[in-house]
Amino acid sequence: MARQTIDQPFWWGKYTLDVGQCLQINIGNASHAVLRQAQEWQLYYNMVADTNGNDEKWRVTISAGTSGEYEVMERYVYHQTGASLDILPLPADRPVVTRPLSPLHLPSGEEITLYVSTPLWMQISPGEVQVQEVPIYRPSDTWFGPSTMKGELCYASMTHGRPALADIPLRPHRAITPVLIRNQADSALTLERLNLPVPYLSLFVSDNGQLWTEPVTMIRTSDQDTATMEIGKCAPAEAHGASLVTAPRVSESRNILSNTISTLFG
Amino acid sequence: MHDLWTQLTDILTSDRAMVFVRAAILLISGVVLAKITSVMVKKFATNRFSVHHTMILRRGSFYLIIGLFLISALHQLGFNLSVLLGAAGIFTVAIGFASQTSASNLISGLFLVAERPFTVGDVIKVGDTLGEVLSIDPLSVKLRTFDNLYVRIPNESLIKSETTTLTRFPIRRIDVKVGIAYKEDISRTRKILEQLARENPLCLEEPKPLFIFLGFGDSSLDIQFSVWVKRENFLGLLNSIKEEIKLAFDAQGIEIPFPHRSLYAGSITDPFPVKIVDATSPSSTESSTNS
Repeated sequence: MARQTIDQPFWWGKYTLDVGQCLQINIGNASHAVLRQAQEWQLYYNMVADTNGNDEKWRVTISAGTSGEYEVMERYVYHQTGASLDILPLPADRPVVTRPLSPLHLPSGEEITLYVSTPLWMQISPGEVQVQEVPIYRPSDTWFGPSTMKGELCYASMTHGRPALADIPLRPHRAITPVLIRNQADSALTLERLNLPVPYLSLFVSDNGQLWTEPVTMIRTSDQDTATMEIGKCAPAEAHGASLVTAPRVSESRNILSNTISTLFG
Repeated sequence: MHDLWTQLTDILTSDRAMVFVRAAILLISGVVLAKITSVMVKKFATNRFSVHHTMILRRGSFYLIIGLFLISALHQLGFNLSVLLGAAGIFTVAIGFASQTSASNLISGLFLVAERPFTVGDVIKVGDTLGEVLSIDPLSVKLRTFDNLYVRIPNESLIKSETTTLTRFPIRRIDVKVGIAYKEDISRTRKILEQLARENPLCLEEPKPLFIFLGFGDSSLDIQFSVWVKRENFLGLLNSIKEEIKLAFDAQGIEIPFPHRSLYAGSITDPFPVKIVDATSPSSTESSTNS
């Protein structure tokens, strides 16, 4: 069977594969392939480091057998494989740390909205069973905390948080989060790094195919040492015609997280 | 035969025999109850506490119940416990003199439990021994080394010597010492190394990689390049980062020099005479010998 390109608005969705067929998803330089055999699903991918490139092109194809070289091959064995295969985008499994282009100083009483772009994972589920989650591009690890003893492991975003949405390129392997930062303390807030807890966020797709998360509001309270974070209840206003794609990895019932300031801003 | 049976029945139904039976029942019940409690404590504590605390709770509850039932059994047998404890005190002093090392280990074990420099499952280094802690017992700590040896370290040695816990913090630093030739540009080398760390997803972006110019070595400019890594990825990056540095230096034409030696003919001013000859020339042997 020749390689057949699937024409659809997004790279994720529900696919149907015959035995011996391989679904290949190429997003920029990253390539993931899923091959159906009679009694096993085979997953192939390369660990491509996250780049700051504008990899806006993607392509989904179905062919007989795999093609190309892959670093990682994983096999999932079943009594009998079904034809259905679900591919979904997911937010990262750890918080993502992003920086503004240069450090920002937010005077007392001021607020700013930063548009932050974060890397995505791909969830591969044959039938009802979730098999694997793999990063589309492997983001770099980073540490966020006041010292090397206290803090948490996060991913570093290769892109900068921008005050203007027009400065953020549309990319199929990243989601955009509008983050409103409000400084209610008496002193200025210096913003060098921002810790965005993406596992708490859902993914939405807008009518132009861009993925979004709920808007996030971070407020530095008058207490100076604490900050509250509130996650919006629906897609941001900037995401026109948005519909829900993926629920959050971690559900937070309170929706408002109170933190020390060092856990949100660096 | 009938007499024997009567005597046996008399003995078994006598108060003395009943006391022994009661003491035995108490002891057996104690052991059974202690085992059941131990299993229940383990089930309760497994997901709530650390492996180390679970072990302490399990053993503590087991020995406490056994001890209580043993005391009750002794009481049933007619032992006066106050006298017994007094005798135990004197006995302890005698034993203490005879087993100073064990007592020292026991007390050191208590300090270890209280101080908690490491717990079960941690990787520690004591002297030259590096391994995973299997158990922290009253007299010793048991380790499994990475070449799969079972090492018993007395608690007293642990208290006295320097112990490093490798798994205390989630991130670690890898220091790579590398030398570059004197002709190389240090700032260019720095940029290459920083770029290399940026492109490796296992290198933490923050804390930032550290570049230290150590000094002027005998044959090279000595540099230390330090990168931070998630603890679990330490070994993987330890190998790959050195390989990547070598590849990057080769690709960028940066020389990693080997030790240089300059030869002098014994005079400060006169240069050492060197004559370049053609290897295929018949006079090459003679020329080399002359030079």
